[in-house]
Amino acid sequence: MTIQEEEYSIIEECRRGTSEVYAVLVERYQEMIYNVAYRMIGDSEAARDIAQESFIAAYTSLRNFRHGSKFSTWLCSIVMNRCRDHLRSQKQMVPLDDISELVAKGPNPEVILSDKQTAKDLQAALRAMPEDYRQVIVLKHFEDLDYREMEAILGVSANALKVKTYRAREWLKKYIEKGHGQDE
Amino acid sequence: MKIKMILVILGLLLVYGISGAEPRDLVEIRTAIEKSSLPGEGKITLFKRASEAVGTGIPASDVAVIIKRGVSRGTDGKALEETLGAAITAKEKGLPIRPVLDRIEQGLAKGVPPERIAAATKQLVVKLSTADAIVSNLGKSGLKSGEQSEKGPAVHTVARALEKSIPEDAINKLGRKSIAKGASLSRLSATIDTMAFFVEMGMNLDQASGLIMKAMDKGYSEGEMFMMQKEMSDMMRGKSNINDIMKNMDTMMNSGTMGSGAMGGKGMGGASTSPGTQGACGSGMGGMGGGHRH
Amino acid sequence: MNKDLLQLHRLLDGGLSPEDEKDILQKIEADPRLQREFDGLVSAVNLLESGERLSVDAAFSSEVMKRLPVRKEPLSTKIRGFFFGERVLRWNVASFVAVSAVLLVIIVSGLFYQSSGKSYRVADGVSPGTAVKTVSLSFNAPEAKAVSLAGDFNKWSIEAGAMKRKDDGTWTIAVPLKPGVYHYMFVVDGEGWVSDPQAESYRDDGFGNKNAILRIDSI
Repeated sequence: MTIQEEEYSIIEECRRGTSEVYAVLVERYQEMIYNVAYRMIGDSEAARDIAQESFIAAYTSLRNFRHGSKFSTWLCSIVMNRCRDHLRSQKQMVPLDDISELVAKGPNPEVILSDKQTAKDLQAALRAMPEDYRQVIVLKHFEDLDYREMEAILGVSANALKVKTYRAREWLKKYIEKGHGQDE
Repeated sequence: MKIKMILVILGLLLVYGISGAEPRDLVEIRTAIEKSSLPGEGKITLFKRASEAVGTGIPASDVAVIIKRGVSRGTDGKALEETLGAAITAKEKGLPIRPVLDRIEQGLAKGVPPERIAAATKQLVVKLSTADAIVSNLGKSGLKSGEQSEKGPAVHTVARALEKSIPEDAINKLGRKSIAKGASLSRLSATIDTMAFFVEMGMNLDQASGLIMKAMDKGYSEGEMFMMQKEMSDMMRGKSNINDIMKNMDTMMNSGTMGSGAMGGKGMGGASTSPGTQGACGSGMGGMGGGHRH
Repeated sequence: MNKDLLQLHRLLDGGLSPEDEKDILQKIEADPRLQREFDGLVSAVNLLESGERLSVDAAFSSEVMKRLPVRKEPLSTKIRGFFFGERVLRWNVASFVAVSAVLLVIIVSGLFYQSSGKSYRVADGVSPGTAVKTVSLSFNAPEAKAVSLAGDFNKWSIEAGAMKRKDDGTWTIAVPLKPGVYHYMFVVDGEGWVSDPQAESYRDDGFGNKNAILRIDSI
């Protein structure tokens, strides 16, 4: 029995009312969904809430889940939608003090960044990145998905997503060269 | 009576349709349902479900036991149908059916509410299917298994560990370690069973993992793994503090006095604990199958 | 985006054939501008890959499960269950709190039944070719009217495992069993399920009770 078949049987059980088995799916994908949410919105508390809500939303609309698709894909599209709603309501702007701090650093060939600094820079870069670029970057480079899966999650053709990913990388390259994030 | 006629006809179809099933069991199934206090519709649907169960290859003697015990309660039959449904699912998916039937028969015998039996059975089937995938994957990754007959019990053991909330990761880790050590499926099964036992007795995941890993490093055989369970039960009768017990186990393993093989492989002699320990059955910890979340 | 640049991205995706890969790598070496582009992209990807995976706290999944919508039970069902519902065994094992109560009841019932006698496990002669052993189990319960052995070897049947009472108040039974692991309990007066106090170990039965374990090794 494959993982997918096993997940279908869990979903069937949940549809029939045995909610306890849903915990299997929660535990299997909680890390993935949380990380996607965190990388998308940059706030770990809010990301945790969004991740939990996504699981609950998935559970309540299990009847809409179609056999033939992967549960993780469906779950990802739910969390992506919620992130988009969250960002819209927050109107996320890069806080001004963060930008000035980054700009002041400038290109510095010999600096070795500590892990903490790199992590901060990464999160700042993601925050500054346009949302649609961030989506493809998170799915491609953080979750290691292929373009077909991304197509199923975002509802955009794989080819279009490929181009978007390339552009996102270009954007990030320029962002770094302008003195933000890693040097050189 | 109309219902009786329908059941007779279905019964005849059942008898002719299924070869190898003892007619006596089928008659028992039909009679039990007929005599029950279920509503007419309920009798027909339950009988259909029972026939379906026998039709998929579930032993008719087990279905007969389940039906007879189930209908003597006077419930509406729905829970019983769901329970059989879960067993049918397991059989159709090629999962080990014995543990499923055992759980149902046990629950019914012990007077557990039918809805709870249904839920517990469905849960077991789900865990069995996950366990099946895990064991198959380990097999593909190189885990040796002797006979085909080893797989079913191994799947059951993994399912029981999953029921104790031991994460799939932890099980896969043990599997990979077994492969690296060239251990067989049956030895891995004993290892996982022992880990689940420790968790049942009250250890947290880290504590249980630590002991198990140590045992694997020392190359404990199946018999020695089971010896650990016995040693722990014995200790539970005396002490109730899990940390003390853990330290003892650790010390015994380090000094080599655990499962030294002196008693390994032999049956039980009457070497039980002293009289007067009637209360301490070792059921102090664990309680329901909640397992431990780490 | 020009062709070479596209190839750089495809290279990063790992989607190039060996020939194309060789081709673009050669171009990168030969062309400083392309080299700079490539290095820039690699820096970008490195920054992304430097991201650590955040772990989820232990309470996450249980919180989700608690927040799942629950099927509402009609009040009539609840009332019926309270008055007429089957009690699981002789004590309420439905809650964790009952664990100590279970222990207490076992102690109490154990004292009541004075199960101070050992359970004898006698390995009889093995019939050649069948490897079946005859195992004797006993349970001291002078006050009981009937005691049965119920386990996975007899489909948990109270009738099939009826034990015989001896003069001293112990009940015994002899069971032929093949090598393996078996789960069982004693049943007193048809309804009181008791774990064998002299068992080698115990396992959960999936319903909150502890089955005794009997392990029979092959010779």
